[in-house]
Amino acid sequence: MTNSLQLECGALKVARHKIECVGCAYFNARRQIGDASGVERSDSDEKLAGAGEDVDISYLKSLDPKEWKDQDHYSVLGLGKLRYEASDDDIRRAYRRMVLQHHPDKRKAKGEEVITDDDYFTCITKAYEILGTAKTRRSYDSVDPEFDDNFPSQSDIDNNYFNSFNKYFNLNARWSEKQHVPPFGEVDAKREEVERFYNFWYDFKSWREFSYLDEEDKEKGQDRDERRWIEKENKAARIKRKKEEMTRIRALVDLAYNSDKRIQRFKQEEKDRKAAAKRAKMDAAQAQKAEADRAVREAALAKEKAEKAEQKRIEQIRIEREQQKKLLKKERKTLRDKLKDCKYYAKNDKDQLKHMEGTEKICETFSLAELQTLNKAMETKGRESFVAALQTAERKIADELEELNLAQQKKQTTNGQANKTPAGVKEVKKGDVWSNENVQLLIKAVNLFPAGTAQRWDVIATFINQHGGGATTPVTARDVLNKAKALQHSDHSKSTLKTQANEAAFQSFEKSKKEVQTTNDITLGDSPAESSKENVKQNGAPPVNNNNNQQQQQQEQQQQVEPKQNGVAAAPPTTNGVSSKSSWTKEEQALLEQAMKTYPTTTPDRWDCIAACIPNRSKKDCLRRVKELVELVNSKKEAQAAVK
Amino acid sequence: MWPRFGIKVGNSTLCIAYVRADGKAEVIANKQGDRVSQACLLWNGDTEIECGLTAKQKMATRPKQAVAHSFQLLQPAEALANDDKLTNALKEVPCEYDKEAFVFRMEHTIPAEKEDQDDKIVTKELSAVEVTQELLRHELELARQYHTDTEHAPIAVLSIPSYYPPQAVKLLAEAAKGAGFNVAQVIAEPTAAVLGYKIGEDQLEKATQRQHVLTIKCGGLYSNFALYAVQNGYFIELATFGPFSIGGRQFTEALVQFICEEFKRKYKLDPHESRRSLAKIRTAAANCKHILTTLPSTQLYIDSLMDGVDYNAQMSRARFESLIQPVINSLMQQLGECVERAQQEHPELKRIDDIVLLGATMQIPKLQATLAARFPDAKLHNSHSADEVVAIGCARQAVYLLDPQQQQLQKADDCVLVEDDLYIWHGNDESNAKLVLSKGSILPAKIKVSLPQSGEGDAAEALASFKLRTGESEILAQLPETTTPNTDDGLFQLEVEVDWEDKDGNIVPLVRLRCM
Repeated sequence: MTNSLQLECGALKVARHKIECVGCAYFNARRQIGDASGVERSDSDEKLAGAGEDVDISYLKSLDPKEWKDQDHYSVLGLGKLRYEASDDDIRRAYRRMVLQHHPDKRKAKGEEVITDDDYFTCITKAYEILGTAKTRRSYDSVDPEFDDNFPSQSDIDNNYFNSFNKYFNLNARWSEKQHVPPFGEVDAKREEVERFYNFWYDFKSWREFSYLDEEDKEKGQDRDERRWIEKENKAARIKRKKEEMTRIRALVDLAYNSDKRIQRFKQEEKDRKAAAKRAKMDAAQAQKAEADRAVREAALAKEKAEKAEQKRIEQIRIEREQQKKLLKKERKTLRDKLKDCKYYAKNDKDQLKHMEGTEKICETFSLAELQTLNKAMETKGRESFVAALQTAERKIADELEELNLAQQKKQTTNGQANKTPAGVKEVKKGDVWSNENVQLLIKAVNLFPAGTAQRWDVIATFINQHGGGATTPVTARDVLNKAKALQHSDHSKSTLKTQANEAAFQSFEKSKKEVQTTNDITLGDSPAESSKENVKQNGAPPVNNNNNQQQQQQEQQQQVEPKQNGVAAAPPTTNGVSSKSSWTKEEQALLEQAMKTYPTTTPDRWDCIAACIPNRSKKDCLRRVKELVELVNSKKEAQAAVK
Repeated sequence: MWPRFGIKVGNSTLCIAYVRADGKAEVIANKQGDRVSQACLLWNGDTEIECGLTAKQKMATRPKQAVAHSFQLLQPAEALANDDKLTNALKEVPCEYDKEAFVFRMEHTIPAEKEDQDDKIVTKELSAVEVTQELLRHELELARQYHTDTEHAPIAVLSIPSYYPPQAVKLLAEAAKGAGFNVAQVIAEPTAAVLGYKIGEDQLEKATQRQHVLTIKCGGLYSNFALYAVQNGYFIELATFGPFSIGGRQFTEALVQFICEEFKRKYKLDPHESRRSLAKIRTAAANCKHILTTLPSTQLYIDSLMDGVDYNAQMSRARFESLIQPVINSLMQQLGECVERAQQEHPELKRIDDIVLLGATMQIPKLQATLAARFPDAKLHNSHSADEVVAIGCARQAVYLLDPQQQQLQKADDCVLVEDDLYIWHGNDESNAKLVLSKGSILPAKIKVSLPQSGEGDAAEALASFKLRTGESEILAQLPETTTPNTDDGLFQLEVEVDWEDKDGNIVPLVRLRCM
């Protein structure tokens, strides 16, 4: 039917404008242009287009309004095809249409006879009642009779796995509480997709509920108790059904999962991958091991080779040496033989003996080349060359000797510090460090820096170096430590230091007493020195000190010798008795007191020691003097006591 | 799909509004509780970029690291080639701007760790697009309060000043997309404001006279005017003027000058000597200006303005108004000239029906009063806050979108409009005439009408004849005789399609009639 007409309408005034692409009107216009159906300018305000299909009157009439619960509400409203997909608007419009068509009043107007009691229109209103409200519609949707609760059959699974499951999952997806149900996918679906799909379905939350199937309506209860009982019953039934539903879904997913070739494939892949990884790991380990073995073997080989080369080299050197030795021997032998043949070019026996000795000398001193030249020379020149060689040999020996001597001398000069004392040449240096002053300094320092001082020995060493006058070589911490230990271990009574101090005191005394000294004194003077020497020897004091002692003794002796010479000439001789009986000088007294203090009663040979400390006085003198003093003190005490 | 968002991007401020499914547009307040966000950006010298009020506050102390008033530079390179315009624009930008590379260069000085070392200077370059993107990202955070769908970007309509070239629209869309919005449309600021006041919506129900709308925008830096004709809900931009460099800055500057003079007179100290003092005065003056839009008077107090001297003065609205009078005068003069020019170009523009104010500066009461006095016949729309109305308009526009996923950056559409009404009836029965197209409808259009049959007998000739009328002329439309129109209950179901054809530059309308 092409009953259309097109005509130009020049009278219609139009104009072109730039219209802002905004606002309701503009978009409405745009929508109309885009929409093919166009806008309807009709009086009818009900737009029922697309509101479901027509419903067969006979079907409606066949319905029993009392059995409304069993009727298909969607078909009643003409939405049998849309069903749960129908929007609220669809339902509303479908209902309006049905009302327009089937309302008893309308039908009456058309002349139809209507029985008000039992009219099928009730079914329509009931259907709208159920579908029009979200809650009831949901409960009806949950038990939609059209819904297929079944599972795909085994033959379906075998023949058309993906299509059949796709269909069933799509069907069931409508119960999902969550939107965006993941698709079932195809054979070549990715692993994540498949996993997501199964995770979703194993975690499936369904909104399906079975309140529509309730045996009795709660509202029908007579009283509260009955209502409560009904509710309880209904709830139990609902829960049971819900459980069944969940097991159904679970079974469906299980069925799909178990027969899913993709899952099998993924599992196989995983297995393969793991195996491959394991194999790769093992291979790597093996390769590493092989590599290590090879390295070890190579190293061993290289070592062996090096050893062999070294051995060979040594052997070579040995052979060379032997050869040289052999040659030398041979040359020597030829020389000897030749000389023997020539009778050593001797003129007489003495000469012969001398030449024989010389021969040996030549043999010893000459090198191979020299021997060879000598041998050659002897062939031509004979005796002359031999005599010359002999001379060179002797010269050589002499040179050697001289050299040896020189070396020794040098050694001596370096060691000896121009010290003429033959004994303890080597030790002097060390002993020098611990001069008297230094030992005193050391003791001072040790007391000054008690144990526990940080880096004590270093500190002490520096102290000594600082205060030691700098004449001698600086001491080190180690020296200090050694010395201090030595001092500690050696008994105080036998300490050379003490002895030295005493000797020093004696010397000063000697100087002051020079005039009164006699020849006897000299002998006496010797005794303490000797005794001290003995003392030292007995006590096994370190040789250093011993040396010092000896030096000092010598000095003393020298000093004493001089006065002796002088004394013989000038000094009036004084007898031994005079000296022994002579009163104790202040110095002597002080020395005695000091000695008494230093050698306590426990010291063995106490009096010997004390006597040794005091020059010019014997042991006896000392004893006597002490007794006198004791008596003096005692009498004094008594006197004091008497006064009191 | 909901909520949708409307965003106004300006030189000094940004504003975002959202609209729920029920169609109500509302402005979203930011973290500080302000309904408009400051268009400032501050780089902290490392990786962090601050936006908004905090950035603006720090801008005074660290100008080299801040970008402000960047939106004026969001234009294609050709548009920025104009040296004069660029230099003017750059006066307002605190940091360096590279005129060759078209980037903002921010500098941050890291103090040397040791005395003898030189301070280290690090720089960061941002293009205008990137700056806008950063600012919009901040707006996105606000939008996220209402937009919870993480899968889809929020649908937004953005505004752009009407004088920006089309390429700038593209740049803005790009920036917004980069920030994470789904840009559905970019519309002109004045249009958005007109939409924001729902002008023209009542025309949908009943055909009214064509309305003329004057929009006056006065923002932070520039002002511009636009004239719209609104008919049948369609907006037709008649003329735009601007930008003129009269903006909030000038108003503030007037106040700043006043404070400077007064301070100088009182304490013999010239705040012009110190940049810091000037910045302090400017902040206080801007604040004072905002307060005086709502309150009759305020205390102007600046702590330690210069050399430890405080400034304290009472500022009443009257005093302020007298100070800004010269600026208002120049604006009004400019506006008067523009309107005159527009009236010369468009003779039909006899009177202005509506005045829409947009831009924060238009909130100054004196300015509104002056406008009302200048256009006594027009209806002054100021129910919305002038700095928010654009965002609201954008949000409203977001409601109307046909296909929100499809980006539409074209500002205006070339359409053919009907200038007169078109009626149709059957036979000679003019009393049953039906309106097919009303004045101002867009072509092409397709309309379904049902016409009652005229009682002129059942002759085939009469049966198939219809008449159309437009203005004074009538056209007879005779359907082919072979077809007999179905009459259902005495009604003709007709489909009228009105289209146009371009014939040698002349637009010729075509009417197609089809009987169902």
